Amino acid sequence: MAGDSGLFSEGPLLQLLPLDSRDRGTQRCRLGPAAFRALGAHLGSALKISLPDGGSCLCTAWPRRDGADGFVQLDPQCASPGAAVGLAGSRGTLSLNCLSLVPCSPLRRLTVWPVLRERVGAPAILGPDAVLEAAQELLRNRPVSLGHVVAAPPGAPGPVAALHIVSGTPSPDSAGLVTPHTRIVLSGTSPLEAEPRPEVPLGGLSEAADSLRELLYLPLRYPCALAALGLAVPRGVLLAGPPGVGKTQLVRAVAREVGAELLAVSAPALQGSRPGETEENVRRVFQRAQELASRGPSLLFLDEVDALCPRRGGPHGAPESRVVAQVLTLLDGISGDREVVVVGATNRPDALDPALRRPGRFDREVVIGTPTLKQRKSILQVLTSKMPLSSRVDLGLLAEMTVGYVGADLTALCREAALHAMLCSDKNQNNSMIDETDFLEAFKKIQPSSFRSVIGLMDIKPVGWDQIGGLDDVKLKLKQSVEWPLKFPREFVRMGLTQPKGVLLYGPPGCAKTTLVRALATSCHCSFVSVSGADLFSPFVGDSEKVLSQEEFQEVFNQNVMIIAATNRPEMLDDALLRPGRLDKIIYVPLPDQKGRLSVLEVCTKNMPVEPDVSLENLAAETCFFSGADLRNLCKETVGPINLGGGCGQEVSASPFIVGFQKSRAWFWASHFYTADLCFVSLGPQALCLPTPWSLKASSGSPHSQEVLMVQRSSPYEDVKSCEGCNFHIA
Amino acid sequence: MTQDRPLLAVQEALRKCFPVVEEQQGLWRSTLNDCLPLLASLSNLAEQLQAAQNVRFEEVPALRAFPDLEERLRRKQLAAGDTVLDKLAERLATLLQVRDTVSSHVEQVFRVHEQHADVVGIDAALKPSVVSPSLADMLEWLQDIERHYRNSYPLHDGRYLKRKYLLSSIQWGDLANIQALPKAWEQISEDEHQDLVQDTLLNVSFFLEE
Repeated sequence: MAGDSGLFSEGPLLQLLPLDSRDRGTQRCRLGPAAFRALGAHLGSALKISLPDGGSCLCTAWPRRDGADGFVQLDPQCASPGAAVGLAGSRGTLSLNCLSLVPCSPLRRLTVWPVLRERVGAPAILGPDAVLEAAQELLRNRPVSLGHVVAAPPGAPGPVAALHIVSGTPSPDSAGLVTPHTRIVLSGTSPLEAEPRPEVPLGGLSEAADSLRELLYLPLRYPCALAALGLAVPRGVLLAGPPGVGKTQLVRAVAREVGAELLAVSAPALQGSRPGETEENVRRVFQRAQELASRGPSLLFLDEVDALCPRRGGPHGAPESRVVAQVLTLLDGISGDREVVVVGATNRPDALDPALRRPGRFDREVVIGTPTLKQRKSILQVLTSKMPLSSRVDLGLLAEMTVGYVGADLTALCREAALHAMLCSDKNQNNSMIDETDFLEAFKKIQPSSFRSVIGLMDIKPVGWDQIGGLDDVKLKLKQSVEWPLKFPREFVRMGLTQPKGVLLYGPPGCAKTTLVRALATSCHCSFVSVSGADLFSPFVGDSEKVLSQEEFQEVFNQNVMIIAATNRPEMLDDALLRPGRLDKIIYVPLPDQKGRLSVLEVCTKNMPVEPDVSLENLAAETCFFSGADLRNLCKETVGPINLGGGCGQEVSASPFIVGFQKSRAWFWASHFYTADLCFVSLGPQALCLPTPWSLKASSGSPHSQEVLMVQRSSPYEDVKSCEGCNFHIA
Repeated sequence: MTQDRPLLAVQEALRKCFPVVEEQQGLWRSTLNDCLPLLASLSNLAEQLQAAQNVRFEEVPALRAFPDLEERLRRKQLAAGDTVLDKLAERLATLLQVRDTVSSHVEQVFRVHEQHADVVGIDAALKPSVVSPSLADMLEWLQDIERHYRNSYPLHDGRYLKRKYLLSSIQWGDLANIQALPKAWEQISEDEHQDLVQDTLLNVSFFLEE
């Protein structure tokens, strides 16, 4: 038999198909006749199948109904722990070599450790007799193997969910058949505890892990000592930190290390659609945790707990608060004789109900922040420990580069680097090394996740200072307050200066405030995170995020981030925001003066073919009160009719500029009404529709033989008063 | 023809086994049918009990004349319930017996097959003839049938015997459940592959007549 299968040095590949529903729970392995012949198996003989993920399962060989070769279907009812989960629904290939015929002698005695089913109703205490009877039923006429788990079919009744095969006579090392004469004994100890638990190294989380471990260790290891001291041990921990820093992994690792039973529940998964369903689910989870705790140390992990316990009294209303109340009650109720350590994880601790965060419920809060340089290095070391790195990769340098990356980002980075290495080195696939360049390539693709979501990292097109016309003193001020502290931090320290934390740019719209910031970011080589205020105000976000609340601002200020805010309504801002320490530098970005306009026009027409009769100087003089955006619009309007009327290669002469000037004036006019109270505007009659807050006061002739309108805004406003004007007067 | 002898031996065992299955299936079906009226009367009793619970005896003048009426009534009803439960237990014992008989016969067939498997060879086992399905199919069906009986039984056992303890111990605590018994019973019967055994027997009918 062994010789037969040995003929296939590689073994023919069998395609692994999902199981037929009628074969579920039969422990059958469906094979084609050729495989039967190759294995030398007969109907119902026991087969041990080594699965691709390292597990194995024991099946009985049965022919496929259609008699086709080259396929295999498995019912992993008796499999090594965890193997059945991996196999469920998987498709792939399986070499015939993975299948081997095993002798299956009848067992005289078999010891099993039952895993009991979670009771849905009242937790009826089951006598060992009932369990034994169920175990006998489940095992009857089955081949079993040492160390395997026989799972009960999910829909089947009975108290037993699975049976671990602990020992037997004769020892079922490969396989043994349970007959009606086999004596089945229940084992008292779980085989899992004896197994050594593999350590998953946690990079850079040692401090947080220590604090959590202590909390878990103490009551689990020294219950008597603590009882003697009369101490109530803290039983609840809240882990807070940005997404992806490893909160979940930390809990899993610590639970594994301590040897505690971990019941991990994702809070959103508990949400039910019917009223009361969520509460029921929560109760069931806690009950389950209690059950587990009665058998040994256990840890209930509520992931994303903010979904379960949002701040009450919010817009969500009564159902949510009932759930919160239920959780609070359960946390309190559990603390009486509580064996269960409850760990909640959230990345929005502020969104939690405050009642949850008092001692007695979540006693401790462990904040896991974005990893520091040292932590990133150790995370990278852990991640790359199993990767074939070339000697040129400097993890320290990589850690320095990856500011703001959390563990998950670093994992993604390493994965991307490995992928890149694999794709690039097609030739020598076997010994591909991951090089520094791979990491650098990956670095381009992987952004830190804190930059994702609403707050978007702008991929700024580099903008040079010279691309912004005019505004020279504003540029200088910005450079002083932003660029210098970042470029010469030492000098600032030497001079005893703290670097400004925030800058407010204000001024009429279209005066290149955003472009200024871009140029700034370009020249400082900074990441530029752009937040539009409008993005932050959404009816769905609700009151919890008055996003730029001062605390948050303060929080941000503490990190190495500079805030540059821009507005054209500075008087609408909260005064508290404008104090030094928050936005300490306030820079007015004025409308460009004549010189500024000229340079803006020069910038805008740089790529336009302009005929020599166009005088940008004259245009600049004409376009008083035009903002940078207005000027650009003017140029656009000018080019429009040319593109329509003329062909290619035509130069722009002066006359279209005048047409464009007329047109864009209307827009310019409207845009300026938002910032002035009362003004005289001279313009063509085509723009006589006034925006609502304005009313027409008077009109008179003007030196330019155009209408001069005096308009007044109904509400007082005091911006742009400093502007001098020729045909635009502020009253 | 010496090569065919082992095959014939297995076929012979199969021929003996299937009639037993047929017979036992008849018993199984009739027993299940017998259970239904019993369950209906049990459910009826539960309804009566519930009704009695809802009556406020002390407030009905006509009933005040009878002392301990409530207790007496209750005891009567419970006694009646126990009688029904005993009868049910008998039926369940019959079902258990069916399961064990089928099991032992199927095991016997498999033992015979085990002895001859190496000689018969896989090719012969996979080949159906004009009148008979292949050996592999028939063995598989037998295994399925046996599993079917075993899977069906504990359902009844687990639910109803346990309920008996429940009824006697916690004083008919969940009357609503008992009233729903006939429904649950029918549900179980619907869930089962009722036709599995019948279909199999039809499949082998020519083989048996051969």
